[in-house]
Amino acid sequence: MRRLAILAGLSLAATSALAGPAIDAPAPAFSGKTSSGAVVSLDQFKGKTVVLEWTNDGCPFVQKHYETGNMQKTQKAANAAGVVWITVISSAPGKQGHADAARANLLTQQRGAEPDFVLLDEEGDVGRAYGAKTTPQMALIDKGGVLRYQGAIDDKPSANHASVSGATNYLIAALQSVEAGEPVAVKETKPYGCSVKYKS
Amino acid sequence: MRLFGLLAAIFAVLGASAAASDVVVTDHARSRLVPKTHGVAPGGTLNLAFAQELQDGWHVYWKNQGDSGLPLEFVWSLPVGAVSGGIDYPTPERIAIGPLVNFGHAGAPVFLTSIAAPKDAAVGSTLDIGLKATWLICADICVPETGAFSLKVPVVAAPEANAAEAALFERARAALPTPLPGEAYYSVNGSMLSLDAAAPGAAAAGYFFPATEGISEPAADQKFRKRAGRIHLSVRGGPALASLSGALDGVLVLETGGVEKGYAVTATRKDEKVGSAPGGSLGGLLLAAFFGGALLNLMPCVFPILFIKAATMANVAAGDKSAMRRHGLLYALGVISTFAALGGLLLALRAGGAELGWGFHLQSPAVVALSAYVLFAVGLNLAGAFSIGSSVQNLGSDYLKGKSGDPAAFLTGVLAVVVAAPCVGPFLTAPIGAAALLPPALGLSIFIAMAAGLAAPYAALSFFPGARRLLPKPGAWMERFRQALSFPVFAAAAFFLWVLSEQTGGRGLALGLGGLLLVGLAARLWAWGGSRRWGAIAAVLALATALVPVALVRPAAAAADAAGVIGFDPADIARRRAAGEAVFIDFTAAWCVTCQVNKLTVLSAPKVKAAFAKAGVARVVADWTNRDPVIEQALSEFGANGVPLYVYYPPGGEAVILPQPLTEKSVLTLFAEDSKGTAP
Repeated sequence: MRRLAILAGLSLAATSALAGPAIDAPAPAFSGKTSSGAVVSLDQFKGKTVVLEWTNDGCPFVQKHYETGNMQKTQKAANAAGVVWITVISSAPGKQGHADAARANLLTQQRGAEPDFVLLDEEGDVGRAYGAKTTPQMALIDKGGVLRYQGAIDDKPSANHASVSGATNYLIAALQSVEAGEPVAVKETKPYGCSVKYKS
Repeated sequence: MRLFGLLAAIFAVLGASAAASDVVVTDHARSRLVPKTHGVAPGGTLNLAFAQELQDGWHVYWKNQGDSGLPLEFVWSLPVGAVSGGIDYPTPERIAIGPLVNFGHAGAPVFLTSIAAPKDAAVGSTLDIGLKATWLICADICVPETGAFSLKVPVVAAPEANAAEAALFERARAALPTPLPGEAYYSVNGSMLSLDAAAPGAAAAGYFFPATEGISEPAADQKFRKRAGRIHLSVRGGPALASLSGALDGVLVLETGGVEKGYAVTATRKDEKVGSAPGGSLGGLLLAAFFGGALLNLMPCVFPILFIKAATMANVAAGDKSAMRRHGLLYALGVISTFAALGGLLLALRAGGAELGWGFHLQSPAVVALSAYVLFAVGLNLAGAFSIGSSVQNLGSDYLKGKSGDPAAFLTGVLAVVVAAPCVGPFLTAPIGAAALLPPALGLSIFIAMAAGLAAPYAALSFFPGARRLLPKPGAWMERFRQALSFPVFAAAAFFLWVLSEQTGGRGLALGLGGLLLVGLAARLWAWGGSRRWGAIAAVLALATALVPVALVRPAAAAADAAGVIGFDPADIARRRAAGEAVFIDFTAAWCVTCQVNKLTVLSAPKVKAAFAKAGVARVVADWTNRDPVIEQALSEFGANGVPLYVYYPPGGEAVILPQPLTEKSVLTLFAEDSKGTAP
């Protein structure tokens, strides 16, 4: 009974502050429905590097990265390295950025995006598990299922399109280190952007 | 939107004539740049207000935006030689967006800034000041907005106040956080940030906004409490907490009588300035520890042993003074090394991540059983059932004369600490709590100060023969007195047996009593055998057998909750508080004498019980008799390191820590305040 109480206390504490998972530790497991109708889970990608990208097409910060082609460029670089790219939509129904399968696929097509999967996380479970606070927000999981990077896509917290040029892309840097089997230099940054529109 | 346009037109006209920029109207805000004075002197400072009126339900961000968002950004275009100053933000507020919390401003925030005019600006000329401001404005969705503002500022010898805008600047000034009087300190303990600041007035609640991002977890509750005129806030840390060093800047918002007020805080790291650990300066803590230790000499479990030792010294006033001093020092050494070992063990275990507090060794039933044995043996000795190293009649005089008494003097010191541990009273909880939070070397010094205090009276007697004259003349009465003192010691042994029964149930009690029987047998065998070998061997064998029950005692499952009392569960407490229920938490342990006294004299008093029932307070008992990491965590969040601790949450309010020693009045006052608070 006491053990149960401890667990209850801990889980309460974890959800109330939406803290991110520990870096360099096994990434939180998840599974969920994607826009193609398939259900994916993190376990099935053991042996592959996985990128998670939180998005909300109505958010000006996300728009900055898609309208300048920066996100697509990052996706291409990841694809070339054989990475599994999962775009996560944690917006709840009725909130900004929410998408059903059809809208999610349309967005991918319109934006010229190249994710392997678009995860429809309308309950926000995956977002909460990863402590996703903003869109965009990135997470990088290595082949062994260990979380190696979480935070912002780059070092320019701005919605201004011009800020993309000259920015340091943290995700690409982390990806290169992971592919080279080296430790990631910048493992955690403060994500910037719009708040994730969770179900309240 | 049409209204906005109309107002914008009006303001544009007004703006042009009233020495302010045009109003920039964006989708969700109206913004303008206002100078505080008409013109600026050469080399002078032009104070400016960036005043915004936000659409209802929308907010902009503070310099630390919290979980998401972006602060205001200024890009100036200034004449050569002019320099822009920083932005003074109004006191921020918390803005919840689902599970996230942002720090920002709603309504009509005013951001203050300034421009330093060039020294060589000619009076009569005009400075062209241009500002491109960018802000992110959000409701549940976010929109970046931008505006260009321009001012033509005349260079004059003596600028006049911009009287038309005086009210705006007054409002801006009132919204700024004011410097917090007194000094503030912070410390980092794992993932928790603790802030310790002087309390201005009777603040009832508080929240700390760190100036930089990632220091705190914005959505986490901050634990607020007041103690001795100071405010303590426990803040869950964010990802940047671990790399925090140097001063910590931020705004502390305190609520007093329903009014919130912001205070600018620059907190110094506590381990850099140990002079201000909680509860006073390090010197003060050391002093408190010393006197607390000295007071322990009067505790019922310690006094008999030490009194007898002191009295016997008077017996040998004519004896070997150097031997006496040596014994005094050895005794002190015994006390100090035992205290240091126990304190060091505590600090080492805490450093290793274990959540332990003072008295933790008493959470082991084996230690409790052994303590009962020791006290029982001491009692038997005092009662005259057996003696060690001297005849009963000639107590002390033999061994004080020769070196044979050295180990005994040292062991008496050890014994004094062992029996003093459960008696550590309220006057020692502050230094011990601080010891656990300070760096290990300083923490240890507090334990040593306490030990020195405990050892001081006796050691002093051994050094100042004059002081011994203050003691009553030895005589036959001493033997009686000694025998009489065996009873408080037996009582202490009985107390430990009760603790054992609380920890282990009836079976543990039976084992403990069996052990005592063997200890008694060992004492008898020793007395019969005298100095003969068989007696010693038989006694040691009996003592060894007495250890068997010690090895067999096991903590029993927590006993069922007494009627009307709730077990400790942070989640349950959070639920009750959220539901507006008042909660009283009694952090206690069976082995804590002070706790039991408070329970009997205050908490179980009919008046107090009735008041609890009448006020509908949920009474939670956090029983720390056996180890419990959840309770340890909670204690440390309240800055306490051991029990007793009494915490009261008024309905919808923040934690109040009850002063010690606990009195009926202090408990009853709590509810009196409640009824005042809830009256319409």
